[in-house]
Amino acid sequence: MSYEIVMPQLSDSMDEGKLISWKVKEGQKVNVGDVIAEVESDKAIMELQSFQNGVVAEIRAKEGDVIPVGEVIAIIEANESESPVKKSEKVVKEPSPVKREKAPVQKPQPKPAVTKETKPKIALSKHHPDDETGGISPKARAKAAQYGVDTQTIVQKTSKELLHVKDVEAYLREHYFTPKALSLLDKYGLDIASFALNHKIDETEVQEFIDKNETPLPQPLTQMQKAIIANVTASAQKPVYHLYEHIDAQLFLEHDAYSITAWLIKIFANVMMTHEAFRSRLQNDRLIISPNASIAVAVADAKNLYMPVVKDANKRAIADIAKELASFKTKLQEKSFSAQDMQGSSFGISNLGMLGVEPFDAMINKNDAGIVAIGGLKDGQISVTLTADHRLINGYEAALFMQDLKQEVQNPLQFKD
Amino acid sequence: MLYREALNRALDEVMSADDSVVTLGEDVGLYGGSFRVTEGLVEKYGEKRVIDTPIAELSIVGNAVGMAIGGLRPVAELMTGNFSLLAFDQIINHMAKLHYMSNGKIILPMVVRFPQGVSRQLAAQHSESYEQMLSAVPGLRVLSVNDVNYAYHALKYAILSDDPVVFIEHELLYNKKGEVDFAQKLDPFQARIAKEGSDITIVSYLKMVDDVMLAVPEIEEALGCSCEVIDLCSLNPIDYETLIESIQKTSRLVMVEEDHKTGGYGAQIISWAAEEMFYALDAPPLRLAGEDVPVPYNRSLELSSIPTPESIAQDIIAWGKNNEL
Repeated sequence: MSYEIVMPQLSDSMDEGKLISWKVKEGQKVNVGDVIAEVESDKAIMELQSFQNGVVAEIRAKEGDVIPVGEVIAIIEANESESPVKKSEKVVKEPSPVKREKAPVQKPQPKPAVTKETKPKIALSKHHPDDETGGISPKARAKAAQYGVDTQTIVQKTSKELLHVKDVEAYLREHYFTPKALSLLDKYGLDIASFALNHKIDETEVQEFIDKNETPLPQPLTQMQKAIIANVTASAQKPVYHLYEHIDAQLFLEHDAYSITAWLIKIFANVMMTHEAFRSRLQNDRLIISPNASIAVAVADAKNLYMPVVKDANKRAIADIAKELASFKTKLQEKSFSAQDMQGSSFGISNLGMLGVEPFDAMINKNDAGIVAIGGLKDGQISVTLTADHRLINGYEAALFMQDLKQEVQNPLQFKD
Repeated sequence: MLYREALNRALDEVMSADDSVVTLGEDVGLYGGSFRVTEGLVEKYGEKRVIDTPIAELSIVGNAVGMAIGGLRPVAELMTGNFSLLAFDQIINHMAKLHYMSNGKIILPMVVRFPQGVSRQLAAQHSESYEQMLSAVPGLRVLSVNDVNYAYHALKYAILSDDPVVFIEHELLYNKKGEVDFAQKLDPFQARIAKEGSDITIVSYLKMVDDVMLAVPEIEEALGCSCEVIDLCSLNPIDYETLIESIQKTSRLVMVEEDHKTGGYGAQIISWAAEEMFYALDAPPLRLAGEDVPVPYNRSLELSSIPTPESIAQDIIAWGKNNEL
């Protein structure tokens, strides 16, 4: 017959025990009282003794395991004739074979139903009103007093037994405002406390208040505004640094069939091909290095900002890039950008040069490694500010990149159609 | 890290930094403490600083008082709160009052560690709580932390403080797991907001904070509201500032304690709210506490004599519905 050895409950507050060491091996003979293991409870390390004569048939727990009380840790195959106890019994800590019928694990049990009856009910009813003084919360009473409202009027009107502050507020709203005034009030997020409550207030009066105080109308955020807020907030957490440079504008001016942005995307893409860090981005704790240079371009009007991506710009002809930029402008007007348009970049360009802005910093888009801010043309030079994520691009690498960039914008080969 | 390990670490660090810190009590040395809080300390600091005492509570606290007067920083461990009754003369008449009676000439930088509460079937003489008596003694600081991080910081603070502190521990908290931020600076006399919320303020301390936290999801679902749970941490002095801020926000107050209801500690919080926060309350305060019976041995009866996560949820939901929450 086999007997289970379980993790014993060695103290009243013990839920689980740690098996420190086994003193026996599988197949080993054990007698009553032999130490078979050492167990650590919440209070101390104790020896676990065998309560059976027999052979260790199976050891289930490993040394170092933390085991819930009552779980089987070993099996002893007992020798029937020698066994001092006939019925299945758990191993206990006492050296003498005293039978101990302790319930194995005592998880807190759900409260028996009977306790509900023995427990005194929360005496709520006695607080309830049956005369004119009861049943009004202190806060509700204070609010009513503040506006000189008789609480009994509200009690009668609502035919409620118990008044809370929300009942008083509801009464004040209904009593002193027309429905149209209320909807205007809520639209502008105004508090009724802003009005003298001594007559019925209609929407004209509320509107007058709004005009007089020039109360702004709160606008709910669009999904896109929420996304932009989340993106720039995340971006502000990045460890960034800036490099301020100017590049020569001569060749851009000579090749004005295409915009400066279009040429810059092309040249940046080419320079990025020799600078791996600029093609990398962080994604789920991994570094993704793209084989091609895809560049996000800031496209915006006064209200909206998008960062659509010119994908694989290094492989594309300047005409193709210019065409894509034009399509971005159309999509901006039509608000028809798709999520697909915004994906796959590792670097960004933001050009405010056409608005005459001189050096400025841009914020890195999503998981990109960096972004360049292109300023206006001045004395044959264009300002280029690099914002780089130091986790992906170190300062030396960034300086080499800018050096190459300055060189390539003066290389006529870059300006082929 | 476990709660008891956090206490052990706090003791160890302070003992290592300051030779005047000693700990004494029944089984604190060789056995490592009945709840393993002083484990390993006698090996490190020797029997002169980790002192096994006879089973005589009055002498444990009395000796600690003498040591404190003599310039040491003793940390006395009482095996359980019930046994402390024998030591109450020393705690109340000496530990709490000598500083006052000597016109401030005597300082008592001492701590009495005080395991208590309903554990598992330890019966009436081993399950009591005495915060209601201790917090009523002027001159004593009474700490009762629930959180593991607070346990570490509060015990260190208590030992290094020049005030006499009773450091109450609940016997079922010793194996609570938690993270400790060793670098943190925290004030153990400031209540801890265990969970922020806007509609009900539930105040508790020691183990009941955990039971309240277990009940909160059910309450919030049933009432469609959000609960703020405040762990008092210090029972004397009380951080009323945190309570005022919370009650002004929620307008509703619930007090949950394990101890017997009549004359229990929570009565202080509720009576304070009735006096000071009356016009902020939008519902009668609710007080959930243990039954006025000696704690039963039988497990089912034992559980039905104290608040449990199930009964806390049930009672707060019923109260909330009656008050149109």
